[in-house]
Amino acid sequence: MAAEYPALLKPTSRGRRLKADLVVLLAVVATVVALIPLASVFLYIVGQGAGLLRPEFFLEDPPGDLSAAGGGIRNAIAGTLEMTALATLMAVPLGILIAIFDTEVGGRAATGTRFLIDVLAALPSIVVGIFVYSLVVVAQGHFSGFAGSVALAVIMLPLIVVSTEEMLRLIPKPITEGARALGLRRWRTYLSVFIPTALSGIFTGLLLAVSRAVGETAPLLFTALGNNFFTAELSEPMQGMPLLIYRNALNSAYPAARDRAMGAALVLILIVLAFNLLGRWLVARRKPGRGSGR
Amino acid sequence: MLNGYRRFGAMALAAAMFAAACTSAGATSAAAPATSAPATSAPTDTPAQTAAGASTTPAPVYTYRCTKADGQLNGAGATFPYPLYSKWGADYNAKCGVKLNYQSIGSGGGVKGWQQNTVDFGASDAFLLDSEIQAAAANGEPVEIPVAFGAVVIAYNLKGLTAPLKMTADIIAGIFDGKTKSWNDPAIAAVNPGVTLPSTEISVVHRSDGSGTTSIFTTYLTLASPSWVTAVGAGDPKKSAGKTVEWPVGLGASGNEGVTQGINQTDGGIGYIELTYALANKIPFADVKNGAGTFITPSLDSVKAAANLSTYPADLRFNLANSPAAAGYPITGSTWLIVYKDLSKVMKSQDRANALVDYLWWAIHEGQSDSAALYYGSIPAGLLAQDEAAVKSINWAGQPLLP
Amino acid sequence: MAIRIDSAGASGSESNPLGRRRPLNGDVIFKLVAGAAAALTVTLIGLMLLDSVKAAWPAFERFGPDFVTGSRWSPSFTIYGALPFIYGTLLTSAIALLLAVPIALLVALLVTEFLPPRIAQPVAVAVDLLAAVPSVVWGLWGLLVLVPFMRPIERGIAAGPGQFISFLGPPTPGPSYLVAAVIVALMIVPIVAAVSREVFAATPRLQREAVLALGGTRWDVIRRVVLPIGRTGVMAAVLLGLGRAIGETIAVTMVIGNAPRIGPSIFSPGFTLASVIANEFNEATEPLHAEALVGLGVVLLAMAVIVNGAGVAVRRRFERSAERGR
Repeated sequence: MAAEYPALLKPTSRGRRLKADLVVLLAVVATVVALIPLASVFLYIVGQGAGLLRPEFFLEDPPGDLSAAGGGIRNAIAGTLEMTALATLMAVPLGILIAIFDTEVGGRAATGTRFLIDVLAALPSIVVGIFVYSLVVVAQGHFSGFAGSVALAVIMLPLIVVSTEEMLRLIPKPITEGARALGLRRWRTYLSVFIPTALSGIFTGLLLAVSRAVGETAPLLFTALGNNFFTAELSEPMQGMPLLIYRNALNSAYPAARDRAMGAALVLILIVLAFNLLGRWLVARRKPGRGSGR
Repeated sequence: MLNGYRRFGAMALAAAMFAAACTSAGATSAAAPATSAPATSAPTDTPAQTAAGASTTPAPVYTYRCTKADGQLNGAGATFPYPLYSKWGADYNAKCGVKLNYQSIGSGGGVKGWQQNTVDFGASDAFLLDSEIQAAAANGEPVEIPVAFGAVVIAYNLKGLTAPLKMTADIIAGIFDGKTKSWNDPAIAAVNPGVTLPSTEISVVHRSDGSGTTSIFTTYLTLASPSWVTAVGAGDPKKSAGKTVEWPVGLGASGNEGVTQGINQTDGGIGYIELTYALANKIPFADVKNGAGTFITPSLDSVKAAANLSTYPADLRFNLANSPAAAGYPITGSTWLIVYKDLSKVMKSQDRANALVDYLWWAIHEGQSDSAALYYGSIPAGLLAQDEAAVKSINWAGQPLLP
Repeated sequence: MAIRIDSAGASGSESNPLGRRRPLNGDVIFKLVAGAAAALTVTLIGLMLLDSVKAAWPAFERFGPDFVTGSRWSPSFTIYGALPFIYGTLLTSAIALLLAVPIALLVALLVTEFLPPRIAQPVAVAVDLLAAVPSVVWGLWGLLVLVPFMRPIERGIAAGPGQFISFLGPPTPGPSYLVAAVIVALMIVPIVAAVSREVFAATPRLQREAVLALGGTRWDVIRRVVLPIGRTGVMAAVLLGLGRAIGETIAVTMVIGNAPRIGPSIFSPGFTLASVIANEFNEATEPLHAEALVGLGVVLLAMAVIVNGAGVAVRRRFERSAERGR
């Protein structure tokens, strides 16, 4: 091509080259500016919380007396895990079914459902907390871990629906047609073919939803209330890690309580990171066109 | 005054000795309440008593039933007494094996939790208003029990001062309503002769959440400073509890912790926080002029002086602000535990009701021994009988829960 | 097997192309179950929305449009006007966008246009990790690290240009609209960057190479091909980020200074719709207070729905135009 059109190949002027380099420089600076706070947050939380990460920190509850040193955050970790697990159990089947409904039935019903799911996704988490407060807490007559789970499930649901729908949409036509050619019923197709194929994508969506739910404070404020004790009862108020941090990390009167909250912040950030990176790794493995052999 | 100290010390010690003997399985009935007749002393040599010679009553004996509830008891509310309530939770758990979960979400939250029956007891630094009682009428009547007293101090962050600043109600009002803008204002200088005040701008920090601490503070300003009433106006104890005020200036922060943080971070900052927080963070605070005209330093003693009224109203709703007591700190407040009178309508089982009442009984007796170490005033002798009557009035469908 | 073509009821669907009437079987049950799930969710969401509007109604009724335009928020006097919070939400979101969008776009360009794939991937992941930091941790860091860092800068600006431009002037207590905007910007950079990355990566190679073939620099490619074609996609990304910015609660409430007033400058403390709800809801016992807060939630929801709806619409337009362009 170059040989055929020599006239087009005027050397690029120095001005334009400079401009291009300038843009690269700007982009690098911007990236560094974006990454400095990330590093700062990490370093700060690690600095504040690393000293607390002994095994007892995970196995003990906070001492009843605020000012006493020692103890751990077992109740908060257990609470977060339990509420998130229940939220997942509620959100995943529902979310997958809704995504199937949207893909399968289509039409106006699906458009309407998608719109409402988008509304749900747009709901600020504090508003979710208020909704669940009047729906569950007032109705039940007490704060509870269950109410907290419901609030988290509401937050997770749109993420699961959207990622499942994306995955179902991406299923290659040959598979769909092959299943029909084999005479499989629709529901059988979903169960044996579509869901397994889309599974890793669904799982990724789930991981991202879980990493979001684990870090959310606002939905728990009016639902789970918080608990200084360990409890596995979902009908009692429950402690969550973000709640513990929010309520104690600024407590300058009681350094021990503050330190525990900082330790919790470190643990929380590590958990969310772990889920996030795991999700990303799965996406990278399964991306179409990366030779995953689908 | 000294009498009350000694009697209280004797009571507490005797109760402690008995409690040690009383196992958690013990189901003995609660002992007779304290007598108020002074008798000649049987001088028990206890470490709680220093000077000898004055009369002491034979210490009344309390036993605690320690009823266990199914699950834990939940309370929520004021941040002001949080350190004390969390210590009580730990101590009562150690003693009776009952778990008490208290979450400090603000006095307003405590009232709301009580109204909507989402908690077993609420805690507030402001007594219930008639309108708040009305709103909960479907669930029943309240029983409000004042259990501790504390000082709201005016803390500030100014470099180079050697002694605490003195302030009057008008000065404080002027600062918090934005009229006084810098530290070297003549009004401040007038009551602090000989102190060089910097020209730093005053940065006000107040509570952003509905707060009983705010309520104590604004009640004081309402009673003591006419200019406050016209300028800001909230805090009229009849109209509103003053928990949420329309602050004309300043930064809002959440909880006593947040305000402490705000003051600490800003040179020239000033805010109102509870005494424990100021002491723990080593923040200087002001001596405030009281109703008797003296500048009083906030301390456990001046709190107790202010808390010691000659009579208390029957429904236990009272204000301690702008204390006329000679040595009383003017911004003293009381904090209440709020429950329903008839628990059968709001609690799931009588066991839980018993557990709650047992805790309350413990709190007003043995729990009081925790107060001093945390800089809270304990229940004065003159108030204890009414508090006990209040706890005893809690019933289950008409049947008193405490014998 | 003879095929009966029933012309009378020949409506077809994916799984039943000939429109035969079928007995109740697995497929129908399957659709019913999926439909039930969707219906249940729709009902719940609808209930929640209706319940909120109903709960907020007394406040709307009492104040009417003044609820949204009133600038005084005074629970103890039973006066509720949402304007300070709407202002705070819009101001912090606007500043956050102003800060975040250029940075996010530059990051996305760096990753898709300039860096070799092996370096681009980790950089992209690193920027995405900004989204992994929980909101409460951002708030903590914001209050304990960012505010002290920014205070002298704020004081300096207020003392300098702030003398003439009151918008940049005192007070400068530290926690402020600006700090909240910075934190929110940090939270939306990964969203805008991630979506923009996808958008830029989807630029048709043909046109990209055409510019290069004509002797253009990479900047020319960006300026003449990537950005114009990705315009709608970038807009969708920005709207997504804006939607997140509007609803951010916990981090904002820890650094914005919590003052229910319209502050005169960007260094003033303020409040946003989301953060005032978080602060006051638990204790809303004054008359009409709780209703007014739920009303704020409805206003917030309306704003978020509009922004997100616009984002979805733009995103769909982008997807369609991208398919056409390929």
